[in-house]
Amino acid sequence: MVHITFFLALAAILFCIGLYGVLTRRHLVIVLVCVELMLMAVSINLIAFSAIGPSAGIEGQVFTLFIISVAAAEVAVGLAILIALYRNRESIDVIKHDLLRW
Amino acid sequence: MIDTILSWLVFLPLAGALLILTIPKENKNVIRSIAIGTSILAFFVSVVLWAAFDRGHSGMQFYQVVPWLNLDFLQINYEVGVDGLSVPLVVLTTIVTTLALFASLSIQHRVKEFYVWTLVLLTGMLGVFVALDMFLFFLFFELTLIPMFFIIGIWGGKEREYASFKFLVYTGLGSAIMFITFIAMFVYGGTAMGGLQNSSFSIPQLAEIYANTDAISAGVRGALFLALFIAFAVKLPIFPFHTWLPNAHVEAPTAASMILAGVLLKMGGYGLIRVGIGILPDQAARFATLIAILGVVNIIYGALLALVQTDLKRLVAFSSISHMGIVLLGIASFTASGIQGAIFQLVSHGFISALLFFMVGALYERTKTRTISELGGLSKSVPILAGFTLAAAMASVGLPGLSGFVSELLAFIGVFGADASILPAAKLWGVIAGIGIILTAAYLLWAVQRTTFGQLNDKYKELQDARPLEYIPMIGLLGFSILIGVYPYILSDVINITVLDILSKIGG
Amino acid sequence: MIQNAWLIPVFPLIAFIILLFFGRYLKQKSAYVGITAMALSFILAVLVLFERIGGDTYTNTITWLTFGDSTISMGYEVTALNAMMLIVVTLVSLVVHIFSKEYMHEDDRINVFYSYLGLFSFSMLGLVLAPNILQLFIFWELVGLCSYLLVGFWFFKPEAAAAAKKAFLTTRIGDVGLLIGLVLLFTATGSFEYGEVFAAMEAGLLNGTISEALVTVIAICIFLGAVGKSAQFPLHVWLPDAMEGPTPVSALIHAATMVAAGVYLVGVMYPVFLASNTAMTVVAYTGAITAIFAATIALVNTDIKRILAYSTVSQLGLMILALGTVGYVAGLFHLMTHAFFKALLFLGAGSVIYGLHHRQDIRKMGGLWSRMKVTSITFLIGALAIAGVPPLAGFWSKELVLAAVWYEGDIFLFILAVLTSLLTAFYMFRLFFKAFTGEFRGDHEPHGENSKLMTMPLVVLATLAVVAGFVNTPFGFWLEGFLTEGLNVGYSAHGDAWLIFLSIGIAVAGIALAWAMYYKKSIPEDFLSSKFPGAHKVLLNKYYMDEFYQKAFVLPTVTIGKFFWEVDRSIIDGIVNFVGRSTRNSGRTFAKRHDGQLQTYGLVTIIGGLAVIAVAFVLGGYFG
Repeated sequence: MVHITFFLALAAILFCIGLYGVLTRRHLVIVLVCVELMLMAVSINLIAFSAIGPSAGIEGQVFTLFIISVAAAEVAVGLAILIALYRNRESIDVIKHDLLRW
Repeated sequence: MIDTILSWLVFLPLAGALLILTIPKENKNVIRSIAIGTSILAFFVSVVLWAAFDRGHSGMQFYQVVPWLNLDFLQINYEVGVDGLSVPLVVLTTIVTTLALFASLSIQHRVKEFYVWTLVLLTGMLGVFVALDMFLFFLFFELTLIPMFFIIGIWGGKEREYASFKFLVYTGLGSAIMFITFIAMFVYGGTAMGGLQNSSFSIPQLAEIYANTDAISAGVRGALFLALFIAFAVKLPIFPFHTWLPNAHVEAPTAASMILAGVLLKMGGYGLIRVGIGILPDQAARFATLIAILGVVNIIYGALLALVQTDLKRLVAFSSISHMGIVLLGIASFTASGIQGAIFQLVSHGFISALLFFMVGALYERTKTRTISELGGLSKSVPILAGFTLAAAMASVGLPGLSGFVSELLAFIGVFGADASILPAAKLWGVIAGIGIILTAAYLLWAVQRTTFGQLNDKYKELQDARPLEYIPMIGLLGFSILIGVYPYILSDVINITVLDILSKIGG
Repeated sequence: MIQNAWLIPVFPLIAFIILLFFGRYLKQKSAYVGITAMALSFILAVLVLFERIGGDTYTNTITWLTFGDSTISMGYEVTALNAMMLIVVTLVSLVVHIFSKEYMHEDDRINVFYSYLGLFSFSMLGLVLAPNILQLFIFWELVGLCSYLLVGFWFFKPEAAAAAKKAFLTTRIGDVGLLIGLVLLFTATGSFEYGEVFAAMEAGLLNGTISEALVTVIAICIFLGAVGKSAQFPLHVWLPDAMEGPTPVSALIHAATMVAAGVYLVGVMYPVFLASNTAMTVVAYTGAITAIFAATIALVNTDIKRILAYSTVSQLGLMILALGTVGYVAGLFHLMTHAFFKALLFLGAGSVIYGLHHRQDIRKMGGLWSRMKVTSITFLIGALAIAGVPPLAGFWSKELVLAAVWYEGDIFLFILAVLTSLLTAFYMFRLFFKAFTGEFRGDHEPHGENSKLMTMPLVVLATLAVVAGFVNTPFGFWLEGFLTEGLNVGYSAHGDAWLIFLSIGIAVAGIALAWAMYYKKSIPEDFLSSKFPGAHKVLLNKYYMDEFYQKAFVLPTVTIGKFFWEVDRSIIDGIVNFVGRSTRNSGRTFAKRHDGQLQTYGLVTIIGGLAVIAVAFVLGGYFG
């Protein structure tokens, strides 16, 4: 039996890679991919705990299914927005979109 | 109908404002007529109130209370009523506002909004003077702030934005202190009575609670009174919280200056007497010396600053600060004549300062300048306006026969007759205030000498003298000032019993 | 009739109101409105006087103001003193109204002039009729307003505008003293009514509730009002400047009536003064100093109206001196006679000025005797009266004043009074000889005597200046009996024979000196200026009082005002603006961090989240 630490470590590494990507990459598609990566890291955690956690049960897997479906929807919406944005401003460089400025 | 007259009076202007909202903004004359009609109607209602008011009866009249926000620990009611302190101010409000509306006929820009705001303002001011619930009082107090902010900010002079923001933030800060103090008073009342459900936001009830309990220490009471004092000091205004006033006055349009000086400042003095002395009379007496000193400082400081102003309107603004010192001095004496003098001064200054601001506005409209040194000799080209300006200045100087004299006389009798255990060194403050009276004469006569007397500037040879509609505010305001000055009994008759009532609480 | 005495001031008030509203349509006819009203008042005043002589004091009041348990009432009262004053005021006012018809006819604001005159007459009569000191104060201020308006009547002349302001402000200083005095009196006695005040004061002094020090303070405060209004030293500076007003106004307000109100005030409040020796001394010395002070300035002045103005100040000083030395009747008697002969002198000067096309410098006059006969003769009568030549009015009253001072016992005051009388005779005849005798030295020959409308008033006043003194002579003290009935105002002195001769001697000596200097020229005219150039310069500059006040009071006040204005803007408002600005600036500074970069926001969020977790762990003890 693999110790839970390895799953958690994998998830943490994946999460950090994703986070790093979200915060640093300028290409919006990459940012979206990194967001997926972070979601997957969470999913791994959930699955690991549901299989060998202190109170193992079905809930973690249910959540994971939810996350996968939400992530799919999110990517669909996100890509749609991305395309609309590109049409509007001819760029998907994150830095060039600062509409939230004060 | 007469039992609910106060509610009718307060919400009548609001109804007028709503009616104006339904009129297309191009129909300027219709809008003006509705606004003036509403205010005249409010004036008549206030006259009915004046006439129906029972002079021999102390305590609240036309009292009305409706539950409003009732939780198990919190009772906030719509509670209104008037006594001899508020009735004169209610009448003053309707008069000054009506006449200010006549003075604003020359406004052409965004007419609809102007009149809507003014009518809302009228509701707010009337509400302040009739509200007996502190929450309601606060609500109306704030309701006056917003319309005035927009009136100064939209229809004001060159630096209107700075002035309006300063006005809003500064007096808003005062209101914030006031609100916190109100809540603190409510909560301390609750601790004294063994639970918030036994406390009250009602001013008369809270006064009862505070009068009959020993559970609230003198330190707490003192702090509460000082906090209230600061809150109302901003509005009155009292040195050193006065600096918003000159800016606001200089930038405000004529009508707004009239209302601001004529009524809004009075809310500070009214609040101080109604809430401060009403609920914490012993503390007010305890700080009598402080109040007297600030009053004297106001008188002298305002007069000295008025003496060196180059802008006529700012001069009048500082004269307001100086004159509000008389209110404080009268209150500080804690004698019947002193407090009556303070109330007289509130009313009298309402008419006089409104008239002064109207005259300055009328002269500015013609000459396009308020710089004193650029004017001169206007008695030649506009003798009637110059005559009224002189009359207004004389009223402000405190010439007998005009209302200012009566209030000064009463305040002086109060100060010189003050009880030494309440106000030590009273005579000293009286004498210093006397110097202030000389200074008042100095700056006003100096201003008159340099604007209406002397050589006429050729630029101003062909000015148009008073227009028929301008006579209404001029004669109205001067007329009321003369009425009170010649026969003050009509006013003292209403005030007297209430003043005795207030004093009986201090005497303990 | 006496119960209708309130109508006396109401007639001119009605004239004022009519002229205020319809004056500009009436123009020249305005004069008739004013004259009619004054004539009615005068007739009524005469009737009231006759009724008062046979009858009693009449009072009628209504409630004016209530506060606490106190009530202040207003009304009117006819006592012996104010019955006399009513006659003086209505008569002089009527005469001046008539005189002005011609004098002012070239001015297109004649209607305004007459409306002001009406308002003044109303206020002055109201002052006289007042049954209590508060009402007196009210009308006291109103006459001050009228004086302001009339001095500044030619407001387009900067000097007139400045003089008007100076007159109002200077008297205002005294008035504040008076206000404080009467408020103190009220708090001490609980009333403003003359009778009640005096009774309460007497009782209070007896049983010790009112200290003598308090009475002294009250008396001196009240006296301050008189000092301002009656142009006593050191508040006399406004009266000479007030000569910028039209000459009839100077005759009415600044010679006969308003300036005498100060003396009248001391008269009506006499019991308060009598109760304090200190106050009496202050009053006496103020009067004496003013008398000699103004008389010396009058010696060198060259403006016909200003000489008369300083003379007025000096004579008022004598009245005050008399009152201060328990000469109640003397002071008020001199007030009455002075009103007539000084009004006469002023109107005479007005007639001269009118004839000479508004030239007032006596160096540019001369030889008017042959050119303006009536004016000259009446002026001479006035000058003789004020110099104190028997049997003219001034002689009787001045003799009484000297007697009062002598019997009071202060020899210094007596010397000052005698010296003032001597100087009075001298400067009046200096004026007379320079203006009316010798060669004409001006550039515009006068066109002869003025019309009847102007000379008739002079004749009327001249007659009075001759006969008015006969109401109180050593041969019959009718006025004294009338004024002092029922009053306890101390004794009244009657001069011994030597005093009468001294008085005549002074007058003759003064006139003779002036005659030698300005008519015979046996003493050079520039005697004073060549022998004592320093003193002459000081006198010419009126003892530098104006300059002193400017430097000592006006400038410091303005400087303090400017200083506070600077403090107000930079410190008090500076703090306010600093608070406002620092709030906004800090907001701006933090707002700069919001650059719209989502990734930056995210980074900050994560760092913040980690920080919160770290803090929670540390404080929560999770790390041991």
